[in-house]
Amino acid sequence: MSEHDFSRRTFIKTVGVASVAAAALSFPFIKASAGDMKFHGKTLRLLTWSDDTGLAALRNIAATFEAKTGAKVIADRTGSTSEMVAKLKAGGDRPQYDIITLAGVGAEGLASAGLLEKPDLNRIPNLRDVPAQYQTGADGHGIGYLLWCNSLIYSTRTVKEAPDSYAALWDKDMAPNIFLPPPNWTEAMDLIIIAAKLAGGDAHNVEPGFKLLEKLKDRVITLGENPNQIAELFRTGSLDMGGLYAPAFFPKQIRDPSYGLGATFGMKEGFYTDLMLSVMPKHRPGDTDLAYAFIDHSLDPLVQGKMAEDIFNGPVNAKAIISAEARKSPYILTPEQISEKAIMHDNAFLATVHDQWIRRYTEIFSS
Amino acid sequence: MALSTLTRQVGVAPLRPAKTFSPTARAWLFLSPAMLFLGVLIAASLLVLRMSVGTKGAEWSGFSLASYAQLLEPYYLKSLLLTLRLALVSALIAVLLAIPVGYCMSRLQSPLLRRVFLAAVLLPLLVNLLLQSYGWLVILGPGGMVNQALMGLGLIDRPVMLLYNQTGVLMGLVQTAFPLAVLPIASAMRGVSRSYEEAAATLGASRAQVFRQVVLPMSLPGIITGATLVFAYNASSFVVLLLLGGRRVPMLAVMVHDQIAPLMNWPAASAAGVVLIVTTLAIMTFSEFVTGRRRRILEASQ
Repeated sequence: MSEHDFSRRTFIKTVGVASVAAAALSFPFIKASAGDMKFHGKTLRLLTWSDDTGLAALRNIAATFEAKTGAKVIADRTGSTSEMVAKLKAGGDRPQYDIITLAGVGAEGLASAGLLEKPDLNRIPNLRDVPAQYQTGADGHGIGYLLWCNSLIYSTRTVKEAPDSYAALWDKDMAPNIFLPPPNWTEAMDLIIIAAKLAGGDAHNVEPGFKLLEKLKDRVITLGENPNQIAELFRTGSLDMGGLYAPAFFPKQIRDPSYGLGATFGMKEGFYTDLMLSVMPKHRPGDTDLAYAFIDHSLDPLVQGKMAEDIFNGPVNAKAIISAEARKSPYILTPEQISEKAIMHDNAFLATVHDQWIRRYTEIFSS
Repeated sequence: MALSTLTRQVGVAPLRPAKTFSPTARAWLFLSPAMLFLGVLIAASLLVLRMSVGTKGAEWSGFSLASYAQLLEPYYLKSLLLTLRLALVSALIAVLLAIPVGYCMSRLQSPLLRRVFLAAVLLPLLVNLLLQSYGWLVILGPGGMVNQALMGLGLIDRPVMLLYNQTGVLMGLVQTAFPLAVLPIASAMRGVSRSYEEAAATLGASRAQVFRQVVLPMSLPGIITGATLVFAYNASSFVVLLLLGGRRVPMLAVMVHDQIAPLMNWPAASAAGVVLIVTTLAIMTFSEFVTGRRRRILEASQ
């Protein structure tokens, strides 16, 4: 019996050591030091997305933060930014979370409701390597931690060369069957602006854009609310092109040749990005130093590079470390590409026209 | 003496404690869990009502009817009409399909067969709505069985879009709500005594005539109830719209969703929800009025 117990213990120990070693090998960029372990035993409560981006944040940010600091990150994952907003509002003066990672529009809603603390930028050393336009959002209440980058998605089977302009969406011969983003997404707002610019207008003169969009109606198969469904439509040969849509929705499918799925950021007009933010609720339950350390860690050049390589999100840190191999991928954006071609939409302006534009867009594409 | 050892004197039975609750109080006590549950639901509805007259950012403290005024704009009116039309058409189709199924179920003699039939009808209620919608994608989707067959026969080169439009949504609505139509109709038809059918047949009526002139009119309350249930269920449908409508069928539930995400306009979403509830309740009340009237006529004739 005792021999059996000993064997089992030895086995557990061996597995434990092997797991730790495996974890250490998976994160060679984590360098723990005695000074870093001051948060040992403390807990940080994080609210993030339930999709691939949320999972990648747990792998590349939360897990490495735990390994580096000894703190424990308890993550709650939820479907959408609006659900995050609802959760925080429901918590009122007693929020359950120390950090929330969400889209700019949600952060603005929470900030205007007076639920967020304005972070002290001096306590986030890695911010010095983040270009000014990506440092903060929601009137200074959020710290930018990644860029949601939208591309044109195309079928590698029917579209032989990656399109180099958004005008390809209007090319019936090149792409007979297309999909567009659903009206409630920010991507739809960006598409309206692109259409306006292609038709000679701009964000403040979008009427020509709506007229141009009307020409797409008969070729639009669906307004893609569900990325898995979109991937399936490409796999079955029902779609040729679509967008604006982030390749971050399809990290697995893009790597799987059976889907015939391609994405390009190489449009001459540039590509649109949405700044994703980390916010700190007022009256949060955990340690403030720990919350700042977590935000700072999310901006670490190595972590930023890992996030970009893992799920095709754009790094905000200009010194993000992208491997030489990853730099060859058309889906993984480097800080240089972002600096040259990224267009960030004006959330404050969009908030004033969002309702009207959603209506127009919905009416145009209603079946 | 011997008798006294065999039998023991029994003392006076202790008096039961006086009843502390009246029958009415006990009835209320019995109902209290259900009442509590209903109370929570009603409270939630009242909170939605309160929010609908709030203002964006001041949902609980503000007061404005602007959200209701906004619903009078053509964009929302069209959406409301589309919602009512699709819910109504789906109810009619579901009832038409449910009548023969319900009749079959009501006339089955074998208990085993009846159970099998019931299980088959109930299947849509047992299977997750999301899975059912994916089932439609497997059948009618661009890579689905129908398109594969058509392409295999050389009739088409590329998939035909049978989904992502109103027709696709309608099919999904009918299928998911089908059991709600079958069950009350089957129940009503089971209540029609066979002696009426036999009497009509004896008087020379054909089977079709018996069905049309005896069974159908006597089952009308069940038919109307089935139609009402399908209508109410489909008027607030959301998942089917998203998966089979490809966001191109703007029923009111989608508008509610849009107001919450990304517009964060809870009062507008609540107002649209209240209008949907009130409209559905009004139609259900009318249907109940018609059903009740019909039932009274039938009872009088019997």
